[in-house]
Amino acid sequence: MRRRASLILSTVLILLPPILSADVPERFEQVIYSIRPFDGVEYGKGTFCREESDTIFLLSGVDNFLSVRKTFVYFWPLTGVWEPDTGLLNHTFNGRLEILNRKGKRIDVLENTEYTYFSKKGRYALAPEWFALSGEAATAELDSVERMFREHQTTLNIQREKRAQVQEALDSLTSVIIELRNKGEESEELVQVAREYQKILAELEKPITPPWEKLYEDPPAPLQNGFVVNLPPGDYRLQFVSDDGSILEGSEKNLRVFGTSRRNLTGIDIKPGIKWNRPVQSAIPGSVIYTDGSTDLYIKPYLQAEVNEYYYNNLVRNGSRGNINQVKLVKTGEPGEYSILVRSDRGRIEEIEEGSYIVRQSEGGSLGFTIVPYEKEVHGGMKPHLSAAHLSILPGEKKIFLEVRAPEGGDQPLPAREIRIVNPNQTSVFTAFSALFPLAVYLVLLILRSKKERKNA
Amino acid sequence: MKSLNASRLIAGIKIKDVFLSPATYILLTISLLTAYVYIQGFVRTIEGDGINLALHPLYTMTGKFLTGLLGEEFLKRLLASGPGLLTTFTAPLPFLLFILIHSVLSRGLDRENRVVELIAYGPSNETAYNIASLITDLCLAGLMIVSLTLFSLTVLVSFNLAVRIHFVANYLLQFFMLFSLSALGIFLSTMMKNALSALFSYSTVLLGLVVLEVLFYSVTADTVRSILLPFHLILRWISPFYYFRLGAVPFSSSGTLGLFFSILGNTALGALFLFSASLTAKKKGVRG
Repeated sequence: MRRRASLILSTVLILLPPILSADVPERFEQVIYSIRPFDGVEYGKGTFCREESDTIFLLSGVDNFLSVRKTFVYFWPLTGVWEPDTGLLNHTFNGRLEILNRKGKRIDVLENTEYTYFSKKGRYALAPEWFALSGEAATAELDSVERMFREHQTTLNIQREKRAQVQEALDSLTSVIIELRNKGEESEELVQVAREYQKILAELEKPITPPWEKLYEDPPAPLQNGFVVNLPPGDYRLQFVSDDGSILEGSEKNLRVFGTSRRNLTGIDIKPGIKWNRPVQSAIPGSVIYTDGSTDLYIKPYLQAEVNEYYYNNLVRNGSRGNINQVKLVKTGEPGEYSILVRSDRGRIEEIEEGSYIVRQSEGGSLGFTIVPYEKEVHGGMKPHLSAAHLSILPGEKKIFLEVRAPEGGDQPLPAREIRIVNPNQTSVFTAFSALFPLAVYLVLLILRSKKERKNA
Repeated sequence: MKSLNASRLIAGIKIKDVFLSPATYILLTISLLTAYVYIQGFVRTIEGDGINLALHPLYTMTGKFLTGLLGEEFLKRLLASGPGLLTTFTAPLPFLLFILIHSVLSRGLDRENRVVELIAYGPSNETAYNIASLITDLCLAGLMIVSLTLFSLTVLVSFNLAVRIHFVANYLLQFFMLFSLSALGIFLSTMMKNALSALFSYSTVLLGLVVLEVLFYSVTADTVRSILLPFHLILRWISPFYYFRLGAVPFSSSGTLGLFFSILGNTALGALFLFSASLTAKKKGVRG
């Protein structure tokens, strides 16, 4: 018995190593297009177009960046997507990018250029506006950031030195005060001076906001090389022509440039009090928001536009699935000042406005948090966690109508939304039984027929 | 006029037959129960922050299936105002299938048993019989749509769920789709010799048209789409499902215009099938 057990164990041990060894995905050397598209909201993570994918998707009328490189690609089974591995091989080519129309006629030749992109605080505090610069403008922008950085460093150094000087003066003053007190002599005047020093020190210890943080929402990305593609909607062909005039193998691709339709539609972000960091979007105009009424809602409207689902999914990640027949709503920005008119079936009519809130962890052993209004005096050093209009659901309310109101003269379309408060545990026995009504009718019919037959007999 | 009277009389007999059959009531009950299960299932998915399909197995399954087949956005639009729209697609299925199968089978059997021949040698003709079959189907469709609309409305309101106009519009479009589907059944059974071959050819054609329409509309790779495109370009004109899709939400967002073209398309297609059935019957003769 023991021998058999040891035999099984040794067999298992012999078989284990290949099972336990990490399964390294196979890498393929390919010429790919690295794509940094503008997705309507931002220049995100970017994507790439491998050799098997024949079409690149970009938004029209905005700067998008492409670069051609030879690298390894591999399929990562955990996420089910293809990934580039530029750590081992990342060879870029010298040459130009040619854009052809559908008939094969060359319509543009793009040269490789340096570029950067960044976002500035937009027209409205929370809606950044994105900018892309190329060539000298890109270098100038990054130089200006570097200058700001250097100036900021100088300011910090000066502040540090001043702080050290004041601290030194305060330390020596403190020793004098202690000495005087030990001797039993009057030191009140010096104490006053020490207090003044402390105030200056506290002032000097306040952090200085770097100037680029005031200017940018997202600071300029480091300079990169690529081709700036900004085209009107349409179907094109792309090819990379090397310096020797030959077309790089694997660089011929279709390019589909598409636009957005029905811009400035209003969507609503709903942040429930219990899951404030996981907003739910009510994007489709006229849609209904369902809730069980167990939590307050924090509501924030946003602007959105319609795009083709398949094109857009492939813009964000080339090679994605999507329905070419469907349109998708994507967030494009935020409206300016707004207020929300709330009407309910219980006769409530009120106008709620955007407020700032702080999420405070519950004290003691209990888990959870509370959301409290942001007060500058109390929460001075903190940034608000949440900016939205607060809507509490009152007991007995079953329907609430929301109407987003922009300031006078605002040009935003303002569709209404409806909130329905539904108890998820309810059952309607009467309606469930009423589904059996046809069977009851048949039963009655049978009885009537048998009566009739008996009568006739 | 004679022919119209005959149609009325034959339809009366056929309707009486159908309404005395237990299958009508059983399948109508199944359709109503399906609507109830979908609406109540939706209620169970409601949380503090909206709906969570993972909370109900039926919705988890339906959600995964529809997302895989038609895309995430389709599902979002389908459930945007509640379960009403989804029930317009799921609940009628059992009864709709019953109407179509019953229509083709009963017509085929009448032909096999020479009932059609008897009518044709009498004071009427085969066209009158065809119209009577169509009237019977439309009466059943009307019964289904009225029952489902009233029942679903009652359940939706009792659960405090929203009702939107698309809900009624989709049922209306189904009525017109059934008109052309039924006419197609009549046309095919006129062409076939017996009930079984009529049913087989009808099922094959319907299945083919459904698969083509669904695949063409669904999340498919470019290669599959390019293969399907020429077939779809030609066959869509004779597909009741294509005209239905033109107006049905969430497939279409064309509003009233889509609704109008959908009704017009299916009415015209139904009339074309009926006309073709008439021509075929004349050509083949009543014993053909």
